[in-house]
Amino acid sequence: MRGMEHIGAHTIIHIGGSTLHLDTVIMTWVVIALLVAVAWLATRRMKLVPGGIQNAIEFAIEWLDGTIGANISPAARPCTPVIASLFLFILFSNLLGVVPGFKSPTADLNVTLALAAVVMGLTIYAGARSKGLKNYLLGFIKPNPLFLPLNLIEIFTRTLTLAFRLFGNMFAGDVLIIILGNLVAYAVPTLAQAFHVFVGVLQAYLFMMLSVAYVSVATEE
Amino acid sequence: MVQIDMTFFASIINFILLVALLGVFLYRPMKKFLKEREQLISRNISEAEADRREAARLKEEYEAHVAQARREVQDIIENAVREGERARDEIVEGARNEARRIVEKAEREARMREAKAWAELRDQLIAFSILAASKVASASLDQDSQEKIIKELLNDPVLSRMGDLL
Repeated sequence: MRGMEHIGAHTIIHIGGSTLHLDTVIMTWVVIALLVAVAWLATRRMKLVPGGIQNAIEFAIEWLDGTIGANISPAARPCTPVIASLFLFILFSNLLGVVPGFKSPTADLNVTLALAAVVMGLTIYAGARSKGLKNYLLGFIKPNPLFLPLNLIEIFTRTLTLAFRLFGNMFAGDVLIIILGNLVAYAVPTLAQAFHVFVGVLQAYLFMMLSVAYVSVATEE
Repeated sequence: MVQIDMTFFASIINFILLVALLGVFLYRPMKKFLKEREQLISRNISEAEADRREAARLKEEYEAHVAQARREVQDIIENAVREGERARDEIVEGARNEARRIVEKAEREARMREAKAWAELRDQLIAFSILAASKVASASLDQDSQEKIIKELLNDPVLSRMGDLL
């Protein structure tokens, strides 16, 4: 089938003894550039009565702040900008894959794992900040020290499930579009792309809400 | 294929960079702007509320003034009506008095003229009578007889009554 050989393939460069997915990094920069450009356009000349892009971004920011604020614990409230950035980055990354000639950075497990690692770091930071480092670490041996392995595994499995859920959905969406594109010429690939957009929005929302839940749980006694 | 490499660390750095850039270009200015707008709206609402209270106070004050003015106007009208009625009564009373005085004066003058006319008439009548009588009796009566007749005439009850009437 046409294109199948490209699924999961990356443009690789070698730095030192390691490799780097250049296409993923470039797509990530495209997403960052897009987000910063939109942010700059929306905030450069803000008017009292918003219109156009300012209105859209104000709505997005207020929706994000409201949604995160309604679900996050008060102690974890300072994490809101990072979680909002996760949502925006994942959303734009997911949608970028629909544009011909571009790839979703989130279809690369390195990226989704990196984002999940950020959430893990944020969870540990929020827990330690809220309870104090000692109390937070002691929480791993509660209700008794036998739970230490389970608690540690839980942290890592959360991270892995976050990463693999997002990666799996985006990767599967890309594969589905290529396969359907080869099997049916018209309409069906377009429908698949529309579904991919829906899944992309849903996965971004899911990643955000799970991050909120993990961070909140870490701050609660 | 799927493998973990430097892209993982590059992605973490890229994301941290994104958070920093969004903080500078989006969150901070947007938060500042939204806060300023919220304060402005809050201030405007407070001012509007104060203006509304002030307007209500002015309305009450205005209505009180209007009511007071209305009462004063009513008093003025009532006073004017009373004053007018009093002046009218005075004028009417004065006119009546004046008319009565004029009538009395006219009656008095008329009575005086009438009396005077009667007196003149009596004098003339007497003189005429005397003249007529003297002419009739001049041939037979002397001076003494004439005077006696005049006295008798003057003392005549009929003439005396006539004089009373005059």
